[in-house]
Amino acid sequence: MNSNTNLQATTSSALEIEAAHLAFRERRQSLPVLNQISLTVPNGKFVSIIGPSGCGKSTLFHVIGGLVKPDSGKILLHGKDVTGERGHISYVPQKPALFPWRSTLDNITLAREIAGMPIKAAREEAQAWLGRAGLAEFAQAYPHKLSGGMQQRASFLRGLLAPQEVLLLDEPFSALDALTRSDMQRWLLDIWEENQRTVLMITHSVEEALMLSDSIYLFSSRPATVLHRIDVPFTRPRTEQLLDDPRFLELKRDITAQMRVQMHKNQPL
Amino acid sequence: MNIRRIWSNVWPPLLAVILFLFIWQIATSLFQIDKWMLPSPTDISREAAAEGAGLWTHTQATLKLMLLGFSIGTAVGLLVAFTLHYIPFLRKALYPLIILSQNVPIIALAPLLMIWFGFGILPKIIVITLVCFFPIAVAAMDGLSRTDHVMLDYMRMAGASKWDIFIKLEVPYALPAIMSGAKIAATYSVMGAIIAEWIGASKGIGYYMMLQKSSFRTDRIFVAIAIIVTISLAMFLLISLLEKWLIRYHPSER
Repeated sequence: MNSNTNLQATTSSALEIEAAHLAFRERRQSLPVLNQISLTVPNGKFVSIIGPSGCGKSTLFHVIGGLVKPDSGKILLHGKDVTGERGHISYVPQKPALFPWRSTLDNITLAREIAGMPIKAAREEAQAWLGRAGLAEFAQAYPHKLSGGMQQRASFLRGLLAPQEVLLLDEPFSALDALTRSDMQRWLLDIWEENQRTVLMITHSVEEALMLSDSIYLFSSRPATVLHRIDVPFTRPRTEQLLDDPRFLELKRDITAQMRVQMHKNQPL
Repeated sequence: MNIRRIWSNVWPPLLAVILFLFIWQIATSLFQIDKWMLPSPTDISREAAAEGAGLWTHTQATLKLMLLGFSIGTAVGLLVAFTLHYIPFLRKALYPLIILSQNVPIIALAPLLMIWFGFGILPKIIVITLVCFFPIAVAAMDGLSRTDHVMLDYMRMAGASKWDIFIKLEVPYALPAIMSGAKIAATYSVMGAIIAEWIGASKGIGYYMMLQKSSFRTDRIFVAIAIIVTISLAMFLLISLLEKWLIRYHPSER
């Protein structure tokens, strides 16, 4: 490989994971969790990870976020090695985890506050975003006044307003009921297609992954290995009609079947 | 609406207290109990009115001592909790000792403190600090260790410094626990002040109590008890109000 193509590869991919390997040690036993995971999230693309539950996807996020150091392998951000370093990514956790003693607005500006950015500009921008998320009148309300879907939207805005470029979404809709969930997916799709932030999302829902992503990584059950990379062929902007597209249904069936195989590897019926 | 709700919480215990005093009053005259043995509530209130001005100076002295001790005790308790929280080894080493320290009866320790530090304010403050810091320290450590993991992960991934995590997440998260500890410490501090004054003082409600005990003025001892109970209640109420204000975001405290 010559240096020129190498440079190109690094500039076009915002986040790269190179052969990350991790095992937890428990009572002198080694439990492998991540097995040589390699994946790439190109600049401004939406990439999803699908895998059976408990396959170590959340651990992967901890590795990317610098909370856990991999035994081997590297995390690269625009080609720069950031393995084990914190503060490089914007994390949207599984449950909203808004700070109950902060108003919704103050929650959303938290990441910028931590980064030491001017708070006034952050508040103005946050106010504008709250309006777009239909939360304008809840800016000064404490999070417990918000419904589950609203809290998740606020949590997502907190991630979106963070100064870090790459967003990590950890099953962001899993705690919501089906109706709110599809509503939120459409909302996220709209927001994302306008902003084109670099996103890596973990999900259990094949439909959600197909609807939102540019490419999907299929993970095996524990220890997590990358089984496949699926490039999602559908053009953007996407609408709900996509759900009835025969190609969409075929892909969905295909991925679901592969996931089922993985699930039953661990827990035979 | 609000006043009605407060009233609905206040009247049942109030009624119970009034009923209790009433039975007490009736019983003392019905069974002809001697006044030096058990004075009736009216005897006690008559005595309280007669002693008025003198009692107020004693009360002031106790209040001053208690508030100072409580503030220092709370500060020490928080400092201990924060230190032990951040240095796990110290926590392991000292936590059992802190618990053990609570098994030493303060009544036994107070005279020793007088011997070591004289009859000034210092040994009294130490007594109150000793009874106050424990509930605060234990509650604060407990609160700090319960910090929500997802929130902690979020702060860490966002690159928050230890100080940011402490001041923006851990302390606010532990605040309800700390306030529960403070409520207990507040009532303890009154007790601590009284004990300190028993051992050696020239003013204060504790001193007044000792004085009246030696002359068998049961009625005046009851006056002192009434004052102590009032101070305790006032402290508890004060901390509760502070808690309500500090934790106004809390969903269950509407």
